[in-house]
Amino acid sequence: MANRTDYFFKQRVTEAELDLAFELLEQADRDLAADIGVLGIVSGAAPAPHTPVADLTIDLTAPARAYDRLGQRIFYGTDQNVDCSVDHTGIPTEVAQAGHERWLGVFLRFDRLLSDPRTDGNSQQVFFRRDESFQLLVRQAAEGPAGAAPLVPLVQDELLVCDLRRTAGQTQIQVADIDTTRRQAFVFADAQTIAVLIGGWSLLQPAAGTVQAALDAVDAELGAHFSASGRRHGAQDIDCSPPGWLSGTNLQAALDELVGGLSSTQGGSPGGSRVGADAALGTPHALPAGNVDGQLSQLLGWLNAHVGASSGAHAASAIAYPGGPDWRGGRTNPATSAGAQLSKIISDLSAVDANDDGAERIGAQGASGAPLALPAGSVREQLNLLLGQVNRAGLLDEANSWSHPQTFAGSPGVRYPDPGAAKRLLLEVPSSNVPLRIYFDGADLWITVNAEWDGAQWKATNSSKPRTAMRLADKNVEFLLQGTSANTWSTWEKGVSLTLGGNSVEFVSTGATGIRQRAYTGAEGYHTGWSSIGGSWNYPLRFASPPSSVTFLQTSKWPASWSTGPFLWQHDETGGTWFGTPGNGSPGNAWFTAKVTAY
Amino acid sequence: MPIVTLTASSLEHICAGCGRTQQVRLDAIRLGISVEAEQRANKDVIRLPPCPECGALEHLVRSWVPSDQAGADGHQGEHRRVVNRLAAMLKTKGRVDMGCAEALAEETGEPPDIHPDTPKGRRGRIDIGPPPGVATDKEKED
Repeated sequence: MANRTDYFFKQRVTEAELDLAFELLEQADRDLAADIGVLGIVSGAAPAPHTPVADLTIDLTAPARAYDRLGQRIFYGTDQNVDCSVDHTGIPTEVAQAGHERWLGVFLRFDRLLSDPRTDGNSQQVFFRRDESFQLLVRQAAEGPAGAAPLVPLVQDELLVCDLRRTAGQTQIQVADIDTTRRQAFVFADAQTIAVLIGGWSLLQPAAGTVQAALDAVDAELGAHFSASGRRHGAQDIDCSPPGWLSGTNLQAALDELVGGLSSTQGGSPGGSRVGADAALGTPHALPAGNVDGQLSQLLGWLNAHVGASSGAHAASAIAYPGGPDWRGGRTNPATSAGAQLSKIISDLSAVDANDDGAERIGAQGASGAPLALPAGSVREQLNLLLGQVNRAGLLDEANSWSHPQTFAGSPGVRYPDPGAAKRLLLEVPSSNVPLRIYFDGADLWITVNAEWDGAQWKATNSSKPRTAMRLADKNVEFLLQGTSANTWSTWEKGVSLTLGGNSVEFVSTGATGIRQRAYTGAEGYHTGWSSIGGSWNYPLRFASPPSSVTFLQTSKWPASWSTGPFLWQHDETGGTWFGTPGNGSPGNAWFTAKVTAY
Repeated sequence: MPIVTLTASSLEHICAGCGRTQQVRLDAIRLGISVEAEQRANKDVIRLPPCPECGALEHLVRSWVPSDQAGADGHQGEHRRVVNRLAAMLKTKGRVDMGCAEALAEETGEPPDIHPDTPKGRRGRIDIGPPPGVATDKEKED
């Protein structure tokens, strides 16, 4: 067990020989610990912020027991307080730069406590007791940026109790500043040195028959199990307490039952009825707490009512319009609501702005035809093309100006509706002087110059010019004149009617104003002295009624003095006769010639 | 040429030959003309004195056409109605041709188309003016 010394009879034992015996025993004890790998802090020395008020010291619990690598036992029996503001050499551990940190290491080291001093034979003072004791040392590493500062390296003959983090301006060490990750906890023995019997194992197959290898195999198996890469449980091998409507007592049975129940489409107990659903607030509809099946049924009812609703559905303003292609012409259709877009479509299509109207936004297919064909384009483009052509070709209900001779190949080429008794204007030739017009009233054809029928009377177009007309009636032809005395009239001032349909075909003067006609008359003869002579005349035209004024404008007469006359004898609207007695008892030649003016 | 003015005692007319307006007193004219020796007569003719300027012989002729016959409208019809009124005034005054007196006396009425007014007193008058457009025409210049 230990190296020994064998003291013999009458041997004078020296101090060194006595000490050697103890040392051999002590060494054997330590060798045993070192051989079996005993190392680390067995118990105690648990670090904590100082109480009652945290500061830059930490408290270590007692009693503490530990063994270092040499098998030396380290022990203390009372709580310890470690000042961490300086290291074991007295150098402050504070952090100078903001944002930096510094790691400290609190180490436990074997030591001996010398006591019971005595004087030996050489008059030297020695300590008779050399008890096992300890030392607590604070070591510091270099300051570094937070998260990148280095840790204090482990020391061969010391045991790390904990790491401490110092920060700039720190005045207290808190729990978060204490790190026991690297704490050198007690190791009883190196697992590689402990053998195990693996022959009877059926699952684990360690690489060696040691505890370490066995634990490695267990770790691998558990690692694979926990990471689900191997050694996975079959669901049937996992017990469970069936919740709710499930009855299976293992996981596989419960899962089978769960899937079957959730996928069920059976009426009255579908899967959705087994899935709970919390209440859902909303307007105008809200869902009370229940199950998925009930809420789906409720939603389906609302949806069908909504989709099938002919009115009362949500407003178009609540429907998003994601934007669409531009209109023809370039007006854009950005994203908005469906309601706003509908309004915009109406506005866009009803626009009458110049070069930006609704017609230009509507497409139209091409249309073949001759002589005009319409190419595909916008309605505006086709309308413009048609308008141009219509303006060239003329409109049936509009006034048109024909700049080229027109050929009416029909028979009749031009037909007018029955005018009834009203005068219908058939032709008009405007003129800066006097215009030409042709009317027909169902009985008479009127050709007028500078005369227009306004529906009730005739009216002059050029008030400074006379007006004339020719009327073709059923039995006569009439030539008419209206002077400039009045701009409107119902009866023409003067006229000549050719009575083609009467008993006598003759010209008749008509009119509202004075019609004066002239004729020539004359007679010459031999008279006996007391006899009379006479003559007659005819008017160029027949008066419409007998004139009431007849004047003889004598042009010649012989003898100069007549006993009677000459004077008017018989007379009507066609002409008249005269007579007179030229002589006064003396026979001879006599004559009388005169112009006749009648009115 | 036509009468333009008729009063209770005179008339004015425009001479068709010279265009002058002449005044004739009613007591200088008679209704009707006749030559007793030749049994020629016309009870509707009023012969005016020759124009002192040009010698034109004016005859006014009474008309018996109805008022609705063509030619009764306008100034010409108005002139006819004035002439008929003048004839009636001459009959009333007894200024009738002796050869026509009997026939005139047998008339039972006046022509149907007669001016409704009879000028009376010094201010009474019928003024129809000259025919439109020929008011002062002279025959020689026409």
